[in-house]
Order: sequence, then C-alpha cells, then structure tokens
Amino acid sequence: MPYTKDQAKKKRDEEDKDDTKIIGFFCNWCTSTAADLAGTTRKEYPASIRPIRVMCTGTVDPVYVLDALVKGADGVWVSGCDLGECHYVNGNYKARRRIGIIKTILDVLGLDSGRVYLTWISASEGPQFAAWAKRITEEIAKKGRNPLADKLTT
Amino acid sequence: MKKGVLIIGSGVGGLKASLEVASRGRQVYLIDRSPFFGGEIVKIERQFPTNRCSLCQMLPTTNRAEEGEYCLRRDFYHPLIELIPGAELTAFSGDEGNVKALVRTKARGVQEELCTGCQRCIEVCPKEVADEFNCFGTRKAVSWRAPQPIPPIPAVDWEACTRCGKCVEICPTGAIDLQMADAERELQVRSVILAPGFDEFDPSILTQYGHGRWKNVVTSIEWERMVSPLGPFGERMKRPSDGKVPEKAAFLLCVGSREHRWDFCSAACCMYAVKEALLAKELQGDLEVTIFYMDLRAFGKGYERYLEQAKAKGVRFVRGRIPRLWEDPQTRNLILSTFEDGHVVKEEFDLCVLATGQRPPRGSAELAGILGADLNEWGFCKTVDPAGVATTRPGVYVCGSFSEPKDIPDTVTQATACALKALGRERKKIPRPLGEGERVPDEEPRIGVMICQCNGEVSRGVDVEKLRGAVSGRPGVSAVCEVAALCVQDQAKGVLGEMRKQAVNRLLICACSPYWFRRRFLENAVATDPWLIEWVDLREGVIHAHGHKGVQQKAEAMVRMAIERLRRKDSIPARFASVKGSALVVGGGLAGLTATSALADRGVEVHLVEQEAELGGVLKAMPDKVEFLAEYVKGIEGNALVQVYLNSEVTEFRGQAGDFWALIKGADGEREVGVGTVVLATGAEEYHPKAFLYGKNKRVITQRELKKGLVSGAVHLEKIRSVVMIQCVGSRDTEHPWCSRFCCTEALENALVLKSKNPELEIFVLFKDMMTYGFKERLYSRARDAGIIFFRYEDREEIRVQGTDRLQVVSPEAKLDCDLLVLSTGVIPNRENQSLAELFELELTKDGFFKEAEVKFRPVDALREGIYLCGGAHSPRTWQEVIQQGEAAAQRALVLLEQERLLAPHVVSQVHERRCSGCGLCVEACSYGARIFDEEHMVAVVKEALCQGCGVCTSLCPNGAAFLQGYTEDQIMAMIEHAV
Amino acid sequence: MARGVFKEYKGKELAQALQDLWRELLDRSVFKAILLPMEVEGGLVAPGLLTDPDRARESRALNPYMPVNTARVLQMMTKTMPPSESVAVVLRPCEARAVVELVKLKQVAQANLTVISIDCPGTYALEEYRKMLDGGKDPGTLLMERASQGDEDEQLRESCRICLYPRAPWADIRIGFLGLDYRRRFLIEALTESGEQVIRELAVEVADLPLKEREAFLEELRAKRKESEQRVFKDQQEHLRGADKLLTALSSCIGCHNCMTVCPVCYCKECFFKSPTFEMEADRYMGLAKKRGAARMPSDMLLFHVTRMAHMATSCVQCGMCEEACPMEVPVFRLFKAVSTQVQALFTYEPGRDLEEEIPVAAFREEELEKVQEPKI
Repeated sequence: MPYTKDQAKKKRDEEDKDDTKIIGFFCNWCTSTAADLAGTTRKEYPASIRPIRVMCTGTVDPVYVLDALVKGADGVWVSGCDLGECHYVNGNYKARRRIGIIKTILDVLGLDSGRVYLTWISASEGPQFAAWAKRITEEIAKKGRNPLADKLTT
Repeated sequence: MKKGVLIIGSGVGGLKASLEVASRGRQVYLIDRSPFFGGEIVKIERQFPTNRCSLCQMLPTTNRAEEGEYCLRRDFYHPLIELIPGAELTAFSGDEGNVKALVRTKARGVQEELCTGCQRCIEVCPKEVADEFNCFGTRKAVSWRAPQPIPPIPAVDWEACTRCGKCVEICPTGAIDLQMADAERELQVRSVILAPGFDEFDPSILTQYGHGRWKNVVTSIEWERMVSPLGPFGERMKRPSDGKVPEKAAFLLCVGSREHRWDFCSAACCMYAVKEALLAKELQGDLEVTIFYMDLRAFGKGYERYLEQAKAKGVRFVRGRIPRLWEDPQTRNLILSTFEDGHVVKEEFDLCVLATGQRPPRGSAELAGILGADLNEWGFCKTVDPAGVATTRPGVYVCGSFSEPKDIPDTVTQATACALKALGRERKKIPRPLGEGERVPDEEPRIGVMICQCNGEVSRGVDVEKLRGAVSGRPGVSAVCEVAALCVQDQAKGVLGEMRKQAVNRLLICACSPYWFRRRFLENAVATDPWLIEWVDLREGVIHAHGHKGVQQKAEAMVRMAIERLRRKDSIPARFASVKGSALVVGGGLAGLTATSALADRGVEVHLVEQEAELGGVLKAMPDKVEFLAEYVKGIEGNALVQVYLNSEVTEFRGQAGDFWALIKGADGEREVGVGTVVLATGAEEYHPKAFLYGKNKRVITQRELKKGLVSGAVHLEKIRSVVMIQCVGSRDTEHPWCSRFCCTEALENALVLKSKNPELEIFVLFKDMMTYGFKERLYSRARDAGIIFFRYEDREEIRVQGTDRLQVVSPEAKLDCDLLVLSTGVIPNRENQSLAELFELELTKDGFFKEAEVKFRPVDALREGIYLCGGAHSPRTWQEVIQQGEAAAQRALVLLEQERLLAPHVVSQVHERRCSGCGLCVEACSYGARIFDEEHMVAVVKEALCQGCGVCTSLCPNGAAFLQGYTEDQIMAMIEHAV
Repeated sequence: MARGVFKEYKGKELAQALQDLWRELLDRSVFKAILLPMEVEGGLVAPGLLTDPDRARESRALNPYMPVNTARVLQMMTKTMPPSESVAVVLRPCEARAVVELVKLKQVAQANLTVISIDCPGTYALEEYRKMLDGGKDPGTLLMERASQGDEDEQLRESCRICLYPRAPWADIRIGFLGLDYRRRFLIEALTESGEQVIRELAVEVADLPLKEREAFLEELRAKRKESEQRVFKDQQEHLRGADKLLTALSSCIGCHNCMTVCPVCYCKECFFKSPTFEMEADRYMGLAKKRGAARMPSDMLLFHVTRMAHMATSCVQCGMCEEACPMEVPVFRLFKAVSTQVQALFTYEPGRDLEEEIPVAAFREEELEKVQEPKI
C-alpha cells in the first residue's frame, strides 16, 4: 500500500533523523572563507555539516565540543587557519591544546575521540574544505550514530 | 570635512596606505585600473618568511570596522574607503593640500547595485580568452578573476566581448548593460599616493629560457597559480605539458634583473624562490628542488634563518647564473649546464621556474607623466625625501615596487610612512568614533525573518514554504516574509517597511554569504542596529554546496540555530575608552628622532628618553651625518611639545594602550609620565670584531672608522697601495644568524670613494653574498667597472690574517697583501633588549631583536597594543630605511593618538565581575594586552577598545566569567542543541 | 644532597616530637599561627589554626585521616587578603601540590605564608578510621609501623594506595620520616630561602645532608605504588570505559556537586553549572526530550563530569576527596585519576612540581601535539 502523506512525512523525518550530523566550529577568517568558496565554486560536500562560525578556533571552549557530543552530534569538526596564519597570531596553537585535552578525555573514557577532528584549512582552500567535509562525513557515518545520542542521560 | 587622499593602485601598498589613511579619520578614494582589487598579492597565496598568508592582519586593531572583518583576499571594507574599480587618473592639477584629480571609470558592463552574484552570466558567455589571472587555461569575456573577488561583481572585458547579449538575457535582475558608458569624476583631495605596484617581467624576450615556447618553463607567478587551491590544477604540483607530478624542479634566479639593460636587483626574488621551493616540498615531500642563484639576498629580518631552514629541509642551492636551457622534445624536460666538482655537467629537470624580476607596470609612465612625477632610467618613480616616499611632485607620494622593487615588509612600512606624509601636518582630533547604532531598549525579542529567494536560486534547492512553516511560530519569531532579491534596494526597502509595521526589533536574513551583500543591505536598513541583524547563508552555505540529500533539513537547522543566537542578543550601547594624546619615545637615535619630530610636528606631546648625554645615537659618530643630525636636534630641542630627558632611562612601566604610565629616572631625579603610546627606538649595537687582528694591528679598521678616517685625515691614502675589505664580520655566522643589511652598501660606497681619490689603488673585497638589493645593484656594477676585485668565501673561519705591520689576508681563493684591512661589521641587538622586553612586556625574536606583531603586514607594531618599534631595535637597517620606519611608527601611533575616544566594537570579550574568580589565566592568555588584572578587586578587567575579539580568554575561563559578546556560552549551546 | 637538619629526640614518639616542634615554632614567634591537623571534638581530625603553643598537644599531624584538602582551606583564608602576620601551614604532599596550583591561579596568596609539607604514608576513610579509634590503638603509630616495614595496608584509601607522592615535590620545608630511623629523629629539609630562614630561627645550622637511604626507600615505595596504579588503570579501562559502562558508573549521581565543592583545584567562585547559562527554559528541556524520546532530568549530568575534567584535569592532584565526599558511590576518583594522568602526560605537566611552570591551558608551544591536528590533505 502506498504511504499516506502523513506516513510519508514521518518516514522522511525518520530518515532525516538518522542522517549523520556533524557540528563544525569554523574560524571567521580562514575556514569560513574556504567554506564560502566551496559553495561559490560549486564544490559539493555533504549536508551533514552544521557550521557554527566563531571568530577563531581559540574561541572554541572545550565545553562546546563536549556539549555537542553529549547532545547527540555524531561528530565535531573544529577548523581554523594554518599554524602561523591565525589572524590573532596564536589562537590556533591554543586551540590545539584545548582539543588535545578533549581528545584525551574522550579516549580514556572510551567515548571515541575519533569523532572529534581538528583541521587547518586556509582561506583559499575551498576544494580542501569540501574534501574534508566528505571524508569526515564518511568516516563518522561508518562509525554509526553517536551512542550518546539516544541515551536517557545527558 | 577635511579633504581626503586619492590612492592609485590596490595591491599590498595601496591597501595598507588606504587603511592607514582611513584609520586616521580621513576619506580615501582607492582606484585601480582593474575592475577587481587586490593587485598581485591576490595571486600569491602564501608569503615568506612564514610561508603562510596573514594579509588580514593589516586590518585596523582599534576602531575596527566590524563589517569588514573577513579574509582580505575576498572582501575589503572600511566606512571611509570608497572603492572605485576600473578607474584611471586622466588629469591632475593643484598642490599639496589642494589637488584636483580627474578619474575616468571604465564601464564595468554590470551594474553593481543590481548584481546578485549568481554567476549565470559567466556560465552562458560563449567567448573564452586566455586567463591572465590564473595564467593557464581560459576565462570568459564576462567574468571575475577569482571566486569571490573584490568586489564580487563580474566585469565585461570589452575587447573580448562579442556583444552577443546572452548574458543580458539570462541576468535575473537586468544588471548587465552592454551600452554602459565610461564615467568621469572629479575628486578634490589633499594628496595622492601612487601605489601601482609592478608588472612581472615577461621572460619570453629572453629566448634562451624558452618561456612561452617550452611548456614546462614557468614564471614564478605562474607557479603560484599552479599550486593555489583556486588555481588551474588545485593545490597539486603538476607539469603544464602533461599533468605529470614533477620530481625534479629547478629555480633560476635573476631572470630579468642584474644585467646590462636592467642593472638593478628585484629584491624579492631570492626570498620568494626559497619560499616557493619550501612550499613545493611541503606539497610534495620527495620533490628535489635546486635553486640556481648568483647572490642569495636574504637581507631582511628573519630571512637568514629562513634560508637555513630551507637548507635543512633539503633544498639544494647551486651558485651560478644559468645562461640557457634546452628542452628535450620527447619528455619536455629541461636541461641545463651547471658546474660540479670542477666539471661542467648537464642536469635534467621536469619543471623549471624562472624567478622573474619586477618592472614598472604598463601605463605607469603615462600615469607619472600626468602626475608630473619624475621617473628614473628604468621607469621607476624617483623619490626626493630622506624617507623615500615623496616624488618630485609635491602632493604626490609613492610606495611599493613602483619606487623601487621590494618585498612585502618593506612595501608595508613604506605605505605606512606614505600615509603619514600624505596627510600632511594637519592635526585632526577625530571627535567622535564612527558607527553607533540606535539602542534598542531591552525588550522581548521580536524577530522578523526575511527569506531571500535570490531570484529563484534558493527555491532550486529549498522548499521555501516548508522553511517558512518551520520558522513561524517559534519562540521569538514574530514575522516571516519572502523577497525575490534582498540586495535590490526597492525590494529591501519594501520588506523592511513590512517588518516595521509588525514592530520587529531583530532581523534574521536568510540569503547568500554575508560578505557579498550584507553591507549593501545595511545601507537600506539604516534604522536597525546592525548588531541585531543575523545572517544565514543559504546560497553558498547550503544550496550551492550540497546535492539534494539533507538540504531541507540543514536549511531548517541553520535558521533555527540563527534564531537561537539572535534571541539572546541584546543591543549594546556604545562604550568608549579615553586616549591620552601624548607619546613616549624611548631612544634618541635616528629612529627616535624621526618618530619624535613626526609626532611633534603634528601637535603631539612627546617625552623623549635618551640614555646618553646627547641625542643622536650611532649617528653622532658619523662624520657625513653631522649636519643632518644637528638639524634634527635643533628642530626637536626648539619644539615646545617635546620634553627631552638625557642621561635617563625608563625604569617602571605599566598600563594599556591609550593609558600607559612610565617612570623616567634621570641623573637629576625621577618623573612620572602618562602617555597614550610608546615608540621603542633603542637601536642596535655596533659589533666589535674580535678576529682578524682587530685591535692588535692598527691597519685593521672597521668601515665606520674608515669613513671617519677619510674625513679627519687619519687614513693617509698616499701611503696605501692596496686595501682588502672583508664582508659579514659579525653577521651571517652561527652566533649572529642575520644579515646586517647595510654593510655591503657601505663597503661599496667607501670603496668607490677610495678609488675616486686614487684610481691606482688596489681594492679587494671578500664577500659571501653581495647584498646590494634594489637600485643598490648599481653600486656593485660600478665597483666592478672601477676595477675593484671581488672574491667569494663560504666560511669566515677560512680567512686568516697575518702580519705585524703590512698584512697578508689568506682566503681559499687568494693570498692578498694589503696596507689596510677594512672589516665590514654589522650590528647586534642592544644588550639591554632582554630587560627592556621584560619592562615593556614584549617578546624578542630568536636573534634578540624585538618581535613585531607580524613580519609582513604589521612590521612596526609590537603585538602588545600601543607600542611601536623602529630602527635597530627592530632589525638592522640602512639610514633611509630607519627614517621610513620611524615615520611609519609615528603614523601608527597617530592612529591611536588622534582619537578623542576609542569606540569599543561589538565583538569584544567582557567580564562578569561577580563570577570572576581572579585566577588571571585570561590575562596571561591575551596576546594584545587588552586585559589587565585588578589587584585591588581581584578580578580581570577588559579594555574593550583594545580587545580584538578572538575569544581566547573566554575559552579558557572555566565558568564563563569571561565571555565573548555575540558568542556567549548561552548562545552557542543553544545553537548546538538546535543543530542536531 | 638536601639542605636541612635532623631533629633528634629521645624518650618520646615521633608524634610528640612533632608537637614539640610546632610548640617551639610558636614559642619563638617564628610563626604567629600554624594551620595543621588537630583533634576535634569526638576524636576525629580536622585542620585547625593554632596560635597558642600550649595547645600544640592537640595537633595530630601524623594521624592518617584527611577530611578535606587543606589547600581548599587556604584558598578560603588567604584569597581576598593574605595574613598580615607570618603563618605556617602543615600539608600532606597532595595538599601541598594543590597549594602550588592555587598559587599559580592566584587563589592562595604566598605573602607571609610558609608551606611545610610532611611525609604521608596514606590515609584512611572515615569508617575505617573510626574503627581504629574505637579499637584503642593510635592510628598514626599503627600506620607508621606498617609503613616503615614497607608493608602497605590494604585498608588505606585507594587514592593513597596508588599515590606517587609520599613526599611533596615542592614546599618551603619538608618534614621527612619515611626511610629514616623515625624512632629517634626526623628530617627538616629546606627547599627555599624562607625555609632555611625558619630553620635558622630555631637556632640551628642548616647543613648539607646525605639522604641515600631515604631516597631509595621512597623510590621503592613509588615503584610499588606504580604497580597498583597500573592495576587501577586497567580496572578503569575494563569496567568504566565506553558510553554504557560510563553512564552506568555515573548513574547514581544526583548532581549534588559535592565532588566539585571539596576539590581543591576546582577554584571557581560560581560554578559554570550553577550559573544562569544552565537556568534553562522549559522549551529547551522539551527539545532535548523530543529528540531522543525521553531525557533524564535534571539534564547535563554527564556533561558536568566531563566538563569538570576538561577544566581541572591538568591541575588534579589525585587526592581523592571527591570520592570521599560523594554520597552516592560514584567512582569519581577512578575516573578523574585515569583522565588526569593522561591529560597531564600530554603536556608532561606535573601539578605542584614547580611554581614557575605555567598552567598548560594558558600557554602553547609551536612544536607539539602534532597528533591532535589532522595532516593536511
């Protein structure tokens, strides 16, 4: 029997629900520009990426990454300027330490530190942004849904 | 309104000069012949010596133009800079302070106010021509030169356009007008800054290198495009002939420079060749790179170390100018002859990059003619002032390669000094900072959502009805409407009127990427506080970026996220910080004197602190500079605004930019001063040689002693038959891994003076690399023509000097008897630098000089706001360069000092005093000195006017006592919840 | 080579010899007060601020019971205004290490404060300690006997059984008895100028002392402890690792925040999780619940623990007060010990080792942590 409109909507919603969702923290200067460029030059990448523009990767508080995972994001992708290129000179070096702490915590607790990515994508690297988006989506999709996403406890 | 400045050329120099002039509250008209801004720098993704781009660091750090905070390659904005693309100067009259300039704008063919950047015209254009920007491949007749150029509006290339009209048909807003006429405009300005940049030398006339015939011979800029991620090959190294990945690459230096016809050095090629070699190796680890050079001109700050880094990474350096190349017709490889172990050998390479020199740009001679500025024999612009920025025509200043080929740090310094000169001596207190919005009283958020259809683009991918449904009725949303094209003025005004009827107090725009048309929209939305306008990128961020799967869901998620952020935004009243209008200059040498006089001439009170009993620093000992120095000192001592403290030092220092406090201790007591800025000009020390019998044999002297001796008569030329000079004594060795920059020039000048006094004199110069960059190369040719003999050496340890009276200098290449041995000694960092760095909380480079905020784009700023560096404190310089730096530092200081008050931007960090536990981590983390620790109340305090908004302090604060306005924990966590 | 002096004594126990030392320090006005463990009403031990030398008899520096980490007390005492008279504080190594961290974080003022650290063979939990008191024997003596024989008491708190710092890495003065003949002498070691000054004020010369035996003893003790530590890590990896096991372990947590309150290096005036950011509107809970069908309330319990880790793991001195204070048997110590050890290893940072060493999160190095970032494509 064909689906009714409501059933079809429900099915679509469920499918959507199961799609991989990756929260991206992209720095205003380099990676956001690269993301814009990817769009401008029609370099397609998966819609799983939900970007949050921050001024610098150094703005990313560890609690954001942890919150994203606890609230059910399948992956977190932090990306900023190449080392040595940061608009604020050394924000990305500091970000690296913060992400290092987070990954270590996730590792020890067995919450899959492989779901957190830190990349450096320069402003002109539109194609690289798209390539990373594809790769990260694939790798995270392979891992399956974030086990924390369906738990009662957050 | 005081008159502004016309700036011709929008490359690095023009951009920097514009920002400097605008930062001092003056209007700038920035014109460029091309319909797109950016000059050559937009072709070059990464620069030496960091091998990274940092162009955006040129943007102002105080009174930041928040609507322009974006990658400078893609967007350029400042409220006081008017961009006039496709424009050229056609007539010019008047004098300094009162200039009339006639500017002719070439028709763009596309009306800026109507273009939505959809790129459909580019897609349908049938005509293809060679792409001069990307160097390989083609572009259309209507096109833009790179994705998202400045401005992001395509332009019609009238020569290529066939007038077929396809673009006119397809344009959804009717923006294309093939009948568009050129326009003329008269500008009344006070002065003009010439920054037309350079053209890359076209090596195809040097047929021996085969450029243009042999595909795998490319110029350096072609190479830059090859490896650019936006270039024809993406970020991969591929040979033009067959797309193969090269394994062996050769770089040939001095192509188009340093020869009969062009007897100058293009100054930047050695370094950029090394950069390209290093970047090539980064992209492809196993690539073998060889650089063939004559002299490795690594004369700038940090360049010698950069060179060592390249050698350590395996870049091979072979001395010898390659006279010609051959191509193997089968493989298309290139073959050259080089010298190895005393034999001539042939080497084969997959790819050959010609490090082409710089030339005055096409049309610059005419431009200079219109302006009445004299050019030199090669067509570069002559300068007539000590700083090297004033042309022969009063009111016209020049910066960048058009005055002399140079690299980026020097261009940026020169552009800064240009801005100082171009604004004359008028003192303007900028009475009120720019851009204050209406304050919205704290009320319930009522968001108006405007969905821009982008002329149907958006509905190609997103079901707008569904989107509308998902948004209406959400908490905080009070109105939703759709618009065909928000960037079109009438439509924008219409929908804004609708919103106002519904008492909306925040706007959410769902349209394209904000940096395309947000400002255009804001011009129409004048009554709303821009801070309360949130922008969701549906076009570049969703529709153009993705296929079909998940697009609707993502669009809805993005809009939900933006609503959550906007709901939690409140209007921020304008906050100001006061600025003390006086300056502290530490060091009374040439740099300090220049900065002091530049500041005092413009009405700034200056406290000049000098350690010794007299002003002048190293200049005092220069016999040929005595008058020059005397004039400076007279000017300063006579100026009532300058307080000179001799025999004094700064012993205590604290505060923040705009409000520093210093304790000056002198022979006759102490004095406390409060200043707005500090210029550090403490100089460098002369190196005293310990080798080569210096101090033991009176025939061994330094270049400076030679100069003095010639004037005083202490050096008796009649008794001297032969002179030997040794370069790099105390420079470019393991203890001092830097080039002192002026010594080669000094040596040659002295040698030529000697020769002119006695042509029979035998002069030998032992050198490593001859650092006669730019037009100084002429000195080198003249020296060789005059019969001065040059010997190379590799390691100074190999040179021995013996003899008790007459000397014998023994090097691997020669045994030279001489009556006089002159050592070209450089400079070393001032021994006080470490303690000065601690006092002023500054950093030192590995070499021991003061570290600037950014080597290329902020060369005279320290990272700590309000402190500027110039002269030997910064790095070794020639006299002219010191003066230029001093003026540049004064300009940078004036940007701050001329403010009556500094306006704090919106995105700044703040402190919840109640929550602050006083741990001080945020203060440690701030690189700019925008945060201080209030010992009394045990809390951190932010000087918002200095805050850059990076958020590094907020991310390490455990409880959110430090938060970033616009990116609070509240907002971000709400966004996260709505993203999944 | 250590700088200090051996304090000899006859006819009394070590405990009493120490009491005499405190008394002497107060008598001679070297300090106007000493913050140190004292016996409180009922027989337990708690930090007390002692000013009267005559009451030094009531001090219990050796007693193996630690109700709070005294660094916490010091923060409360000195943060807003340091003492105007000289004060000494007697601390276990974990407490001394925490004090160093708090000094770096400006939570403890060093002015007029002398840190005296004392060797610690371990402490007992409340129940065990009470049992020993009821049993009649002096718990301190019991422990000393066992410790000096190299025997580890199984009843010690887990955090003590795997503690690698029986002796503090830094203090002004270190009182030592492990690895020495503690029945007739103990060591007063000075590590700073002010420490040496204190010794001199006791009218004693500071000398260079050979301490080979003591060092060897401490090394052996550490080695044994390291083995036990490994077992605890393995245990954590087996039983507390992975989303399910972790949430099971945390499931009894009621969000009382005791662990945070007693933690010496959790220094915030107002915890993030008690701030307005977490005063959420009902709709947000609804959103959370709708997404997964049902949501435990209150929310953000797991987030609290992992965030606390992110904030203080680099300074965690692994004293275990968190688990002592937890009323719901959540294995907080095990989790935090495992995480903090790895995080500190990431930066080769040891909290409490050096006052000049910067807190990792405020600094950076250009070459480091290459594994954290992805290689460029």
